[in-house]
Amino acid sequence: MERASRVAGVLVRGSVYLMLALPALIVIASSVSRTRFLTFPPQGFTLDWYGRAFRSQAFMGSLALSTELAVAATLLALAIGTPAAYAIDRHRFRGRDLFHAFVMSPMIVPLVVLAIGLLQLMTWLGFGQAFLRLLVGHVVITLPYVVRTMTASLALFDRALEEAAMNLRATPWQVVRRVTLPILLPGLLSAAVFCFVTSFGNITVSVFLARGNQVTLPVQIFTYVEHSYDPILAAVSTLVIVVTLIVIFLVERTVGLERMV
Amino acid sequence: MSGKPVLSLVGLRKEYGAVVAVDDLSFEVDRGEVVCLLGPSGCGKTTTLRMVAGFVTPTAGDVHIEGIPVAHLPPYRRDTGMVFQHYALFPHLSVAENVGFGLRNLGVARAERDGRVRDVLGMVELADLAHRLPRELSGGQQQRVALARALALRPAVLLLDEPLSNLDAQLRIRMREEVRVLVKRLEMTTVFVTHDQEEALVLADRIVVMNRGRVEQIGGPQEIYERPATRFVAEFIGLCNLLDGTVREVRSGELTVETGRGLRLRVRASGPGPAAGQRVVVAIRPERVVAAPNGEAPNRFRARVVAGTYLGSVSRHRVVVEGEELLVEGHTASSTPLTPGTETEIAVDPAHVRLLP
Repeated sequence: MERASRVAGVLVRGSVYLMLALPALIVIASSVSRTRFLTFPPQGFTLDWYGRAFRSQAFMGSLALSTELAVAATLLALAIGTPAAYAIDRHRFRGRDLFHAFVMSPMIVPLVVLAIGLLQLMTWLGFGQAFLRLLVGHVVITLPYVVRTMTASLALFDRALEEAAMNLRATPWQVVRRVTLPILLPGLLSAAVFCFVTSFGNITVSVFLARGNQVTLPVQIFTYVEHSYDPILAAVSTLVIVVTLIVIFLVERTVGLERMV
Repeated sequence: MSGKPVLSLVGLRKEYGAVVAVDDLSFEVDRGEVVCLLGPSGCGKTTTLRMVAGFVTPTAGDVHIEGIPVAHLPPYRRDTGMVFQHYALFPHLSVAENVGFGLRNLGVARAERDGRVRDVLGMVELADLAHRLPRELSGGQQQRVALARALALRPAVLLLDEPLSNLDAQLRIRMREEVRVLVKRLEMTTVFVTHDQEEALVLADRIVVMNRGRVEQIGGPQEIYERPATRFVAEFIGLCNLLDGTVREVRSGELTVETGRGLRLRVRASGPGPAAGQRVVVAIRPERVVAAPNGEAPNRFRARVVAGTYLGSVSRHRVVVEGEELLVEGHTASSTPLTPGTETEIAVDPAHVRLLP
């Protein structure tokens, strides 16, 4: 009986992991196929598609743009969202609930609606520069992740620690630097990962806000699929997976994933 | 050494909206003295401590530390060391880093800092655990780290906010002895907040009994217990028989009080007492009621034993004397055993009957 339930447990967990990993595994496998179109299982083995992907101006340009955009949007969202979460947690001001709901709203409003609104706003404001347009859009969609993660971290934060630090002669700045920030660091990094992944993988908002040849990688992949279906797509997608894994790995090295929640 | 007090509270008051948390509180703490703020929760004792540390801004009044008024200074400019109720150890720092935290803020050089951290950790017998993280320590060990951290800066005043309330009973008793020995050895001026009367009696040189933001009585442990100034103090500290009565007779050195049900008690008068006809509260500690006394005694009555509780070293009985119910407590080893349902003689020395307003 016990043995049966253990086997069942392993089966259930195994299939969940498999289902989560399968799309990524299929993409990685397809990227080495010798065929001229995407296929699974792959036929033969070649790294040629990677060579083509690296040589592709369009893909490499948008990979760089996506990475820069994700990094910039993450930093900005953290810089804006952390103080916002701090205000929501520590202060009881008029319209606090409204403010909280407002910064969280991009999570609830359908991205298409948000994107159209942002596009119109930027046209109206005359925001022409592509990177800036994308950055504003991506900060708006990543901000809720920062606010949600940081309000949760702050709610768990024991305020007596700050009092203890002050009692031990720490000035307000020393309190923040030596106590508050180090203790909130896992939360900040976890918010950063959410932001990066959200921005890096976003299509809806980017499609509307991109201009000319300044398109993000997901949009580039999406448009490429419309006229061809070769394994270069899989190679590029594998690069996306690698970038994401590198980000997660770096964070894991700094704090450990189990402490991120 | 002594002379000027290290800490004085001058007309300290704190209001939260319409609620007065602390109401015109004044007392002084001398160098090396251990003072306990004792009272039920919500009496303002923690608020008072937090006003001394600087976490709460008083509505009125001032706090002087070493003669300097500090009410307008932020916590980090005040010479206090505080032990928090839940210790508030920095979870991301080792024991040694926790203890050295204050020294680092003051820019004490590495070598001197390490030496002082070692000394303080040695004092609380935690030198071996210097590199552990707080979560790897037991409750008692965390408590000692908190104490060491507060002492590392050699503050003018050590503040302790119910620091023993999270420990189990055995450890609490051991820790309060240790704390007392340590602060006395260091001649540390200490203010200790507790709601545990036994803790206050054991630890304090002087106890400030507080109730609803006001001081009920300030005095040494014995004075507070033996000569409570108010009904609140008598009830809050230890057990006490309290009977409403009226002064019937006043003679030199002695009064006679008659309780509501007609029990007449002779009371040793000390100083200017109440006048005849005045209503008073009679307070008698249970251990001052002697069961089955030998020979003649002034307040000697026949009593019926109603119920009894055996508490190991002592036994406590409820007896009824002329309609008034009294608690009687005696050492199990030395006093006459009482049996519920039987009758006995009891006596109360007039010197141990207190009259309260």
